[in-house]
Amino acid sequence: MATVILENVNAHFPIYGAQQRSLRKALFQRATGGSIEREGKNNDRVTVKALTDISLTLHDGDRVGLVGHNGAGKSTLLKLMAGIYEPVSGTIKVEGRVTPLFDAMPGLDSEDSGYENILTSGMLIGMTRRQIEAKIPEIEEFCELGEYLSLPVRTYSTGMTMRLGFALVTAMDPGVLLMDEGFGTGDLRFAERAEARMKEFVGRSRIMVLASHSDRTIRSMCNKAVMMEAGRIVASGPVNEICDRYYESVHAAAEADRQVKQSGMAALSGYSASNAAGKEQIDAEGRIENVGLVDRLSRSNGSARMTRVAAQDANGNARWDFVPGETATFRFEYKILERVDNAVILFRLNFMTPGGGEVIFAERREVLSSEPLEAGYEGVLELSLQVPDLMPNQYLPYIWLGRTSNAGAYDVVDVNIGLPAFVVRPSAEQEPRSGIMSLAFEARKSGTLAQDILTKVDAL
Amino acid sequence: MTMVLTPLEDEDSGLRSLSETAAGDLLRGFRKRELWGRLGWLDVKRRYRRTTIGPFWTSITLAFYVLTVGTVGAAIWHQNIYDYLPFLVSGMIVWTLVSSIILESCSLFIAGQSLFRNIRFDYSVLAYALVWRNFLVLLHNFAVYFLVVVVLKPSLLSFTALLAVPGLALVLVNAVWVSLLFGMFCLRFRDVPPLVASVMQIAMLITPLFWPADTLTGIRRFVFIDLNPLYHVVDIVRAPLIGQMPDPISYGVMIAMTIGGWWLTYEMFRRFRKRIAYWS
Repeated sequence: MATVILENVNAHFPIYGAQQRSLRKALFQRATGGSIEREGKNNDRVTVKALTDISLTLHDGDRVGLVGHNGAGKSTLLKLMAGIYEPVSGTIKVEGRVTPLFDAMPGLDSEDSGYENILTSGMLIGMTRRQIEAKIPEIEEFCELGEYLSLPVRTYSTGMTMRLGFALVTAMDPGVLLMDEGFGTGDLRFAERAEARMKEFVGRSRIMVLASHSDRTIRSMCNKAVMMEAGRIVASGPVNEICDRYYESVHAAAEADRQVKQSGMAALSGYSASNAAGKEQIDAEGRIENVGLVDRLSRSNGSARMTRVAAQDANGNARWDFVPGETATFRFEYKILERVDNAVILFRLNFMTPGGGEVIFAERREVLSSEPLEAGYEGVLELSLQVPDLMPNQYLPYIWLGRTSNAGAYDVVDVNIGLPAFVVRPSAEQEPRSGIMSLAFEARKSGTLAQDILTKVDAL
Repeated sequence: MTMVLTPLEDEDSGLRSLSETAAGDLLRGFRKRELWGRLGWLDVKRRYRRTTIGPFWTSITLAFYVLTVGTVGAAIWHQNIYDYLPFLVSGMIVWTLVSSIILESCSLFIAGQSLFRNIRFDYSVLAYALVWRNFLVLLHNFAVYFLVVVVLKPSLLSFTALLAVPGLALVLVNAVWVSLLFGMFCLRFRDVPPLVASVMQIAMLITPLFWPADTLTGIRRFVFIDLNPLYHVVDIVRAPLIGQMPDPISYGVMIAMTIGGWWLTYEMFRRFRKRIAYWS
């Protein structure tokens, strides 16, 4: 039997040093999303309410997915269930062994050998020396590190270290399994075996709680889901129902966000006339000349302007979602508003990490001109890509138009202004695997000096 | 000290609360001898990995120090070198132990964050590991003491010297609460570690390590010796090693410190243990 019961659990994070410059940093790291409160005599204590009034009961056989935005409290909730943080108020009761998988090898030391680390991590996880020694043959066999196990871990590749951690963790009796997404596993052939072992490991657990941003992972691994928002549970129930609801709310939120940005724009004189709030959205053509300028001009000097960002397939149909094998063409149109000495476009596809960070996934830097470009110049850059076997995911575009020295932006556009994400859908024949690849973009450039000159607006 | 002993439940039995009491932490942590023993030992081992003589490097440094400073010091304080070197070496052994425990305890929880933010952890394990690690280093340093004494004054190896053992035990018992208390305090108030470091530097000079306590008289003696807890800590271990009986006052102070220190630490630990993860 395994049970997890949470009753009216609250968790607040005090933030120290918030009066110094680190306030922003601290808030972003700790709790984007939780509500921030100030306490104390002079409002000098900043507290983030990471979790508010959480009640939840889990029983044997529950496979629960936690969904919610970054900072909604998913990881904090997992850490409370693991007993790492104690609630400020409320109670948490657990029956059965709890296995958190936040760090596969706690206490890992690169100077120690593989065997030594197995022993240390195993003890830290709560096994006795004897229990670990009994598991060593199994770990040896699964991680396939052979002689390397006697060498210091610093001689291992990242993949090898991950294999070791994975082999160790999955050798345990999981009980109540707590997972934060992104529990990765080394190289290609190992990934297949790892998946099988992971399934078996999860299968052995009595209860599993998984926090993930991947809709697919949650739907395939869980039978229930809990949706969180700003530290509260807003809904719980069968996995498909909750996931659908979450998906809708994400869209609603994106829409609301866009409207806020637009109304901010309306306040900007000179631009509001022809772009009243509500009208200013990215149309099907991908015109962004006047979209989200508040955001863009706060990050650039405005010497040039991206006027259109679009994606299309080989037949010229505009779309942003592709399956591997298709050819995607990204089209960037821009105008020079003020003579610039040179220009470059940096195109990035980023993705979000479980921790809420953005990671550059692919980058292409294309010099548009190493000669000065006059005001009124209009140019086009097209980047084509035969979509390789990418992991099905959303990749967020980021386009930086600026000096070739990479020091000074003329314009920056990304998802903040509502650019759609580049979506790679799973293809039927593609087996999941992992590895490293580079994206081979093909570039085409053109441009003319136009008569109709936009006036440059000073950076905000 | 009011220590409420709750039965330590086994991980697998029945519905249990995830919140741990301070006493539970201290006792359960202590029972994990395998773990803190290993953590402490690995730390010692790692520091000297790929060196040939390993932890004996600290002993060699100490030996050098004692020989050079001892020769000069004997002249400055007009001491007989046969008495002065054993005095200096035994004092320095204890001082090394005490000062490194105090300094390291400042980073106890700051350095341990990566552990207790990823797994459920009995915080006291870190304190036991710290004390154990320093005890192991002490054992290595004792080699220097034996060497010096055997060469210069073998008569010191008497039954009196055995009195150092209970003295040392008292010091170690105090070391655990010091690590926990300083560890918590320094985690919460990050100004404390540099403060402690500078205080310890000065303390080394005003504690009678290089000069005999009797050099000071009157009010000076009262302030720098009688009121200086570090003197008593050093004295109850050092005195037997140089063939003297420790000052009874030193025992009294140490026992009072053990009770008072543990009471304070337990109260603080009971109140703030929960917050350690949040403070990190």
